Amino acid sequence: MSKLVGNVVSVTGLKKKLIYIGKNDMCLMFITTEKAALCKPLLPLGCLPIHRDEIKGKADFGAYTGIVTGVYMQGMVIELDEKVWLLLSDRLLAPLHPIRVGALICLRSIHLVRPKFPWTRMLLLGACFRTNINVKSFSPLESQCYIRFQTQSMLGKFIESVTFSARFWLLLTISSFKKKFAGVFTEKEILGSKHKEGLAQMYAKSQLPSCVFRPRHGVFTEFCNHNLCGCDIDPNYNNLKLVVPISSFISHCEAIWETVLVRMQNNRDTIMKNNFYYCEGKSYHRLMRRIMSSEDIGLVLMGTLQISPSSGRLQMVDASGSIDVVVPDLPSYYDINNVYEVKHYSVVIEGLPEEDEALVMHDSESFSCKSIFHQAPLTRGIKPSSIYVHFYMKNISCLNFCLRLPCVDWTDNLREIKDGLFHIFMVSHKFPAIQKFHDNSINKPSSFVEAIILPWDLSLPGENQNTHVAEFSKENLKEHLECTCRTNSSEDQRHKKPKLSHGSTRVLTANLKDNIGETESGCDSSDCGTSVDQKSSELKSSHRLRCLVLMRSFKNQTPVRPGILLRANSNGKDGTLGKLSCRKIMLEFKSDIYNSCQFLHVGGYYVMKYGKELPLQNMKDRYHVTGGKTLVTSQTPVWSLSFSCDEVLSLSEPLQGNTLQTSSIGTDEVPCESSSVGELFFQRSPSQRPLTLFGDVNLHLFDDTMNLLKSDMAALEDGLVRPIGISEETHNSFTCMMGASVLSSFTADPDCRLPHGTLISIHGNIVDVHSFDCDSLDFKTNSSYKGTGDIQPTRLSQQLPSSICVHVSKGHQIVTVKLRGILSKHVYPIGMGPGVSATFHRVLVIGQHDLMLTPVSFIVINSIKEVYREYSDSFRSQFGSGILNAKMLDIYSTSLFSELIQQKAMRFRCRPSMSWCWKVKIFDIENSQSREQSKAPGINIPCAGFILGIRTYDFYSRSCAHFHVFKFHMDGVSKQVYSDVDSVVAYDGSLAYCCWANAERAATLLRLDEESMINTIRIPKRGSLPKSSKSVIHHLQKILKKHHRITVKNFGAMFDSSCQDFTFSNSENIVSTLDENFLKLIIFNACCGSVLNVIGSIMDLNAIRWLEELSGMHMAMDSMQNIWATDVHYADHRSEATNLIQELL
Amino acid sequence: MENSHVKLLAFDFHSLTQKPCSSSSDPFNFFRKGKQVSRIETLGVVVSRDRKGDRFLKFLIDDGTECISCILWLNQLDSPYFSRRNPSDVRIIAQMAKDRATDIQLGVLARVRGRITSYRGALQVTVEDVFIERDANAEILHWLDCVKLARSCYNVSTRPSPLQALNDQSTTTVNED
Repeated sequence: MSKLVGNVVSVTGLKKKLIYIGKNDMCLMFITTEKAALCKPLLPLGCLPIHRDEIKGKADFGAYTGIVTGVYMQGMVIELDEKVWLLLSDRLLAPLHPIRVGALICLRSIHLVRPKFPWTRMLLLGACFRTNINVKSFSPLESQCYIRFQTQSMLGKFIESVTFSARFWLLLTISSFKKKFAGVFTEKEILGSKHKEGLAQMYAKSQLPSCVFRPRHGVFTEFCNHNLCGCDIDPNYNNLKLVVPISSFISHCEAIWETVLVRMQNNRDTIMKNNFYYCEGKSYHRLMRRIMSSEDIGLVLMGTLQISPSSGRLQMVDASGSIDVVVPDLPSYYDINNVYEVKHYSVVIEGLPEEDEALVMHDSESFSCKSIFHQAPLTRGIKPSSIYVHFYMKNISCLNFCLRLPCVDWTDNLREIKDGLFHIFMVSHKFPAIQKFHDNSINKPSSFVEAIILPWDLSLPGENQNTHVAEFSKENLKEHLECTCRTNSSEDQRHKKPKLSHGSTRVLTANLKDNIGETESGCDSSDCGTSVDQKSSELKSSHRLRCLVLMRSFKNQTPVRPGILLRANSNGKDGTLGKLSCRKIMLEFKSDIYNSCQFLHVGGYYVMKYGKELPLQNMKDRYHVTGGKTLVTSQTPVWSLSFSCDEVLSLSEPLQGNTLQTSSIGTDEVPCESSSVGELFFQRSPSQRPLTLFGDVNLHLFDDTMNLLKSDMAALEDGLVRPIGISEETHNSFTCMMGASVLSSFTADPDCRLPHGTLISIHGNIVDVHSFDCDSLDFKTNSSYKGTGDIQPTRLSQQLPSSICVHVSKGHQIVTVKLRGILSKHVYPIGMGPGVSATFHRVLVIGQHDLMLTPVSFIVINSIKEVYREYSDSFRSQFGSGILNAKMLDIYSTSLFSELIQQKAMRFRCRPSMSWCWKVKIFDIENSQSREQSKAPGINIPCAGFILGIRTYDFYSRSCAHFHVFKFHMDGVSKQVYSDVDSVVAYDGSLAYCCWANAERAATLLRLDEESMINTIRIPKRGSLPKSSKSVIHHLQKILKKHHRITVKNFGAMFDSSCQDFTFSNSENIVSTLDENFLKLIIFNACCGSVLNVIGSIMDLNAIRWLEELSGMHMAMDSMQNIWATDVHYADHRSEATNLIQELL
Repeated sequence: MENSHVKLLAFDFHSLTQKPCSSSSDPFNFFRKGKQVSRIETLGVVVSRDRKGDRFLKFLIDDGTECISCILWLNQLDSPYFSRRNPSDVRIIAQMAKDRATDIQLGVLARVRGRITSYRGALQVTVEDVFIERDANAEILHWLDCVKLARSCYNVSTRPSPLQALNDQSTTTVNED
């Protein structure tokens, strides 16, 4: 009969009958009788007086013909033409055998639904009892047929009870759950059984709005009123987000990334011009970063939070995969078995702008549902270097309640802070993790944290005594605090001393010390709380300051209980605590509680219970001993601490939201969550006060207590390495520090080859990160745009530790410093790249603008921003130079030019033999900032007045500063490259290399600071000998100011210094003879200088192009290879000889 | 090797072979083990000094192995060789040459670079530039440099078969003592 659908038939012998459907509806029907007959009329269709019944209902009822491209979920979901989804989910609509992959089917009377899901747009076909499925062509493929067993599971009924759109979402969710929890839960637990709901159903029930549920009727009723069977009236499901397996989520992000690249590729200029950067002769791509909010993606992440054993990073994990996550408000303790649902997050995709012809545009806007039903094979393409998700713990929900899983609420953990005495300490430094994260290793190394114990202790009386754990509400906090104090007022009368009694400080301190010792011994006894309370009630000499202790909770209830702060009395005359009062200790975290180490932030305050692990605890002078190590175990948990006081008007809000507006703490606070749009907050920056953020435990204090605490903290932080921002002042301080370091290097052991310098912490914006000793381009192959300095994902993951160079700047200032060093994989923080605000703890000052990352350096990412095409031009600054500490040079071994084929940074000992082409370019100084730059400090460096003025050259932006490049020929040795393997002999004809340098390095190459040079050069006009190198530089500067650009070219013989023939050209002014002679003198003299050590590497093709563009010279004419000198200094003959003889023996 | 200043010890320098050349500027080409060299860098103590007015300064550099005769021309202002050059350049060059001539005193440690020339059959260096080293260690470093370069560069065959390269390295002609 179904084959007749669509044809004209004539049926005779029917009986008319009025049939009631339900109670109210009735319908006129024709019923066949014994005489009924059916025939197909022979007349053409047009001749028949046909009156077709219009299909009642909405216009979402129609036909569709397509090829089956996928059959999933036991045939309940069928994909047609790779874009349309057919639902055959009704039990009574068992899938037909011919519906197999490859078959052409025609659907009639099918519901057409266009649900507005936030994650995708699609056409959904819903089959009902009226639907007619006609197979037009059988599948030519040997595909599988799906037979569904008729079971009466609860899930099956549940699926049938919702509308088509919700049904599709439900099927996707079930499939997701199966993938996510495979191996964790059994299929029965996920899907449920006849009498028990499964996890998927429980979750779906909690998510689906009530409007999607439809009561089901019998077949006949639904046949007659087919609108009943699951059509949506208004299929708008903007809030119905989809849970996806993490592997699908990652592939979705990768597809988005490809789309980004394709868009860029369509505009090739963007890649070429905007994403290519240079650092000392090397080119590299700038990392791009896209940040997308969960609202745009519409997907939900679900899984457990775990520390990855391989990378040491926090990850969200499910059975299908894992993804790195950044949780700024990660609590100190969370159960790794809890299943979390993350609806509000930002996903960050980072990668390099690469080109690939094979890239195709994906429809990245919508999520591919197929990837949930069916694991798509890995597609070839450019993958981003990292994908990670950023969210707040306050925005995620634990599903253990919803899924009826065993749940450990971490606030229970906080309730374990029942009573006792607690240390308050501040983390002053975190040492980078040195774990290798091998599961097999038994002796796993630990992580170390340097902390300073405050002379403040927190005492919590036992719950069973005079306190109770109350539930906190917005209104009653202040009352509660006052009430608690009233209750204890009589006690307070006895114990509370005036805050600062100057006269008796010594006695008080001594008393306190004694008493604390007793308190501790009491604390170790079985009834710890009672003892502490009793003992501390005897502490007449110490400050007992009442406070309220609020435990953080993700639920609305916040437990509140009273506490007492015990403060060691001051030993300073002004009432503040001396530095000695604070004790510096090392906390050791074994790798099994590595998570708790991760949540510690430098500068943050924490509490830890007094325990046996803490050394020196019963010594009387416990506050006066520095040093010591303590092991933090799972039995001695650490909680983060925050403080608030009565001044905070809306105390309840931060407690509910876990963010505190810090009106009471100081003037320089910024909200912990980033204020600017598109910026993701990672971790508190040094400019933000540490007191107020994300505390597990919040102490609510009186104003005066708070003031006292603040003054103590200020005293404590006085002696610490405080992060500094990069500014002009920083330059001064760097110069000072550098001076100090140079001095120290002289006084230190001369054989010591370690770099010397001052350790500082610095805070700034990362402009660029690229690898430092990267491989260079092959000159002969013209394969451009494979940035050589790019940090490849593979490099990061496999070849680390590798040297990296980080350019750091502050705000929109041009001032930039460079950090270099070796960074291992575990220290490399997530998100490191341009557009990041970061704090570098304990880096070594080794030059005016050069810092070095040391093995103890710790990098904290404070916030990240999107880095896309239109990255601010103000960051496009380049660097002048830095003078590396000469001692550092020893890390490079001296090489011959002929060994340069290894193409990495090497050191050469050579002499300039010929200046080839000298070009001086000066651009107009347009803004005052640049002018100030030219007067930047650092004159103590030879030629600084001249060189520093050109430190930042930025030929793209309008505020161009000066720029100059000097080029020399150097020939150290005859060059003869040969290779045993290829038997290729390369005579490049010249045997010399062009060495390019700028700034101070160029000055050294020009010998501007050499005495012999000064003796030789006569200042024009005056005809006098210059008194010092400064006057040479000064005169050079005068010339450069006069002429915007001077091009010096040598037309003489290239290799004979006496045959040099220079022409001076300038587009605007004529260079006077006097100036010409002065410049010639400098150039001639530069060629007969002493031996120099040059650290440099071969410039790659892109860098040469860039230099050509910059200088207007055609370097392609040169057959010589070009070297970019990263450092030039005078050779120390003795040490060179010592090294060389070792090499030769 | 043609265009670079090869670092040779004096005894090695004197072992260079001369071959007549048709070129007008250089009547002889010089070869070391079959490889042409034209420029040299030497470092040693000035042991003799003979200045002929404003024409030239002839001096001997003793590097511990032998002496190398060097000639520093001072006649740039009258020389027809410089007549086509820019007069200001010539003045500067002449002034620099004069300054160097005063620098070269008996007993100083001089680093000399120049072209290899032949005068009446004897090899000499026509000085291009001179740098007076103040650090005596420079001499030791120069010796070591010569040894290293001979081993790793000058003695290496241009088209080395692996065997030959091995031989060359083992039978270095430079006396390493």
